[in-house]
Amino acid sequence: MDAAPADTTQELLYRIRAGDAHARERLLARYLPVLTRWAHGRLPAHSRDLTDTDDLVQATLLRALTRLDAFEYAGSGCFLGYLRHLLLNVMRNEIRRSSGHGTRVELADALSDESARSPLEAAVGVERLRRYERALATLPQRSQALLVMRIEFGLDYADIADETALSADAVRMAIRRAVAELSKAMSDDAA
Amino acid sequence: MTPRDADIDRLIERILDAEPCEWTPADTADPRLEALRTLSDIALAFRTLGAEAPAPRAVAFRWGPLEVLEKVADGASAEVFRAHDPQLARDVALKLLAPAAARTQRAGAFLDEARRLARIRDDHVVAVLGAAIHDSRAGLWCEWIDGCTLAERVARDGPLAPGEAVLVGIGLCRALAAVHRAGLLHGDVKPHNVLRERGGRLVLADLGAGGEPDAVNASLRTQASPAWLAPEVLRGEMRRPAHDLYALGGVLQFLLSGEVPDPARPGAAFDRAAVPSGLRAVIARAREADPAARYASADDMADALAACLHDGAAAPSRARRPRRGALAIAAALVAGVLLAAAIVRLRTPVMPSVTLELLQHDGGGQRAIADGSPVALHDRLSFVLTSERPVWVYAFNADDRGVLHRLFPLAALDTANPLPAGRRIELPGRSGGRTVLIAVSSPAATEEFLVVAAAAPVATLETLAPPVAAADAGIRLRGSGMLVLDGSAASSVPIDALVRQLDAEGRPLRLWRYRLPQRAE
Repeated sequence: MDAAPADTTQELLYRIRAGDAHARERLLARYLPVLTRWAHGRLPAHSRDLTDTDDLVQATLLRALTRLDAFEYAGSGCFLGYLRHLLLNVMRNEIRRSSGHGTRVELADALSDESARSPLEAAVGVERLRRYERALATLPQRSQALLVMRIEFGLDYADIADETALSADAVRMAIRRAVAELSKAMSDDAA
Repeated sequence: MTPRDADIDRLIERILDAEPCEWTPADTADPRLEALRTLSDIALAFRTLGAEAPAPRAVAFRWGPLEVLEKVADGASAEVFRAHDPQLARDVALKLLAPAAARTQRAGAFLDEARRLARIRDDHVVAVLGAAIHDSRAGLWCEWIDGCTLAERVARDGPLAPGEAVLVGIGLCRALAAVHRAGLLHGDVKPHNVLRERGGRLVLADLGAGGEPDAVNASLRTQASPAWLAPEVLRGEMRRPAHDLYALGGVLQFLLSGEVPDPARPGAAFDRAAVPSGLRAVIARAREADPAARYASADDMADALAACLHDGAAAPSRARRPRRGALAIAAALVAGVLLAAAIVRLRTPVMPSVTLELLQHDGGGQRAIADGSPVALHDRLSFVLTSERPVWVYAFNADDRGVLHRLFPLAALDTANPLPAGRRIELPGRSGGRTVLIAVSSPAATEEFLVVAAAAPVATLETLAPPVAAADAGIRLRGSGMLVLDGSAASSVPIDALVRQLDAEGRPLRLWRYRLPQRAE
């Protein structure tokens, strides 16, 4: 297969909206492995028993693509950040369901159960992760998106540049600033 | 000790590159350093977790670009495998020409057939993704559908309600129409060859059996199950499109009764009192012993089925209430009077009082617009609803072809049914604290919306154009690929037919219909 030119996500989204099935495949191929890897660390083991994480990720991504035609996400931010948000929502539902009762259970409650810890929480600690999430939520949308792409999804600067239509250097600078903001917000939270 | 800025910068660089940093116990005393340490741990954890790829599935063998996982069906002429396309990161169904058949059927002919099948583009027909010869074996691969066959569904859940059977029938008619338009036959329509994908999309499968009429007739004469065969084919005549319609009539009969048609009584009348007479008449005509007496085309049969919805015939005749006629007339009168206004039909007095407004957003503001108001490409819209009691609300948009797309409820939204009473609720709603709006994104001549409010869940609407819903724990879409996108979120039920069906069901609900002409920008 020939090496295809690296389309930016924005270009692909534009073409998908115009009905380009090939662009849709390209986007799926680009995002599925990244999102799946990310999601594997995010779901507690008992939830993964119930629902194959890969399926969950794929369903979420497909749904997001379906909705491109009818919806415009009200607000800025990159598509990957949007997908992360969707997936977190889906995972909360998944955790609620797998916790065995139909009532609304906040994510934090479900996670207070040791057995319900995700690999990420097991590695980092629930409280530290919560502080990170809280601080992240206080940052501007764009800073959040940049941080998540680098720290959580592990994209390199060139890929993030494609996502955001910035230069790789500008991305690097912006992410460093965002980390500084984030660590400040986290230390303020701890104080 | 206060960390110097340069040290902090170096730490940030290492964190961003997910490289381990050296920390001293004293660092935890500094909130800023502790925050960076947390970040470092998170970045490292994501990197490590990323390395833990899901357990690979055993690959039986490779065929060209595909990793073949397991055999799922074995036929005289072909074998079907579940395979994985690593390039697209999705599973596919791979059909390989069986070695024995390869001696009598040229690989080239097999590929020609694949090309013809690939011409068929319809939401209800399984999509062919590619065809090739690798390792001297000809094969074609198509989307992997994760779901169950209609045969399995009926075995598990029993017969379908008439309304649902009609919708299934319309979908399959459209699928067959697409097949026939391409100059092909299916040749083996039966409940085992119709898949219901998780999420609700119906897919006519096993098209690999179909193809050019000659090939179908040659390959299927001895294979197809007699229960679904038309009398003329049982007599040895060649299959024609009319045969596919006969088989579809049998499928409908099976869906409604759970019983396989008796091959000893081809064309026998289907006599079930619980099935409305209009629907029985459609089945009877599809299963006429004389092919010439059947519907002239699959589209004609689809129209006849849609008329069942129009006539309310999808509701069992004994359930029809005498007041329906009067209501229908009243509704017609109302519709006549309110041509340009939002059409609001009050179905029964027990429905809670609900108000609905359509809002157009521009710049920083928003304004209510009436039915018939012009909209332009890129306009943003939302609905605002208030109700005195909790309500279940469903919103759809119809595209130029009349295909319905669900706008609400959707799994990704935080807003969900039932909507609470006494509050102003904006729809489609909120997602992650942000408002989701409807964007006019296609240059259709008219944007059409249907909003339905009910005091209880409406089964017809719950299953119509279902979203790929995480709310349904059973839904899985592994490898189902791009066609799911259109198929799962859209329904080919015309909006008029849907309204008539809801009317026929006689439930307490309210409908609002908006037709918004697009103005040139």
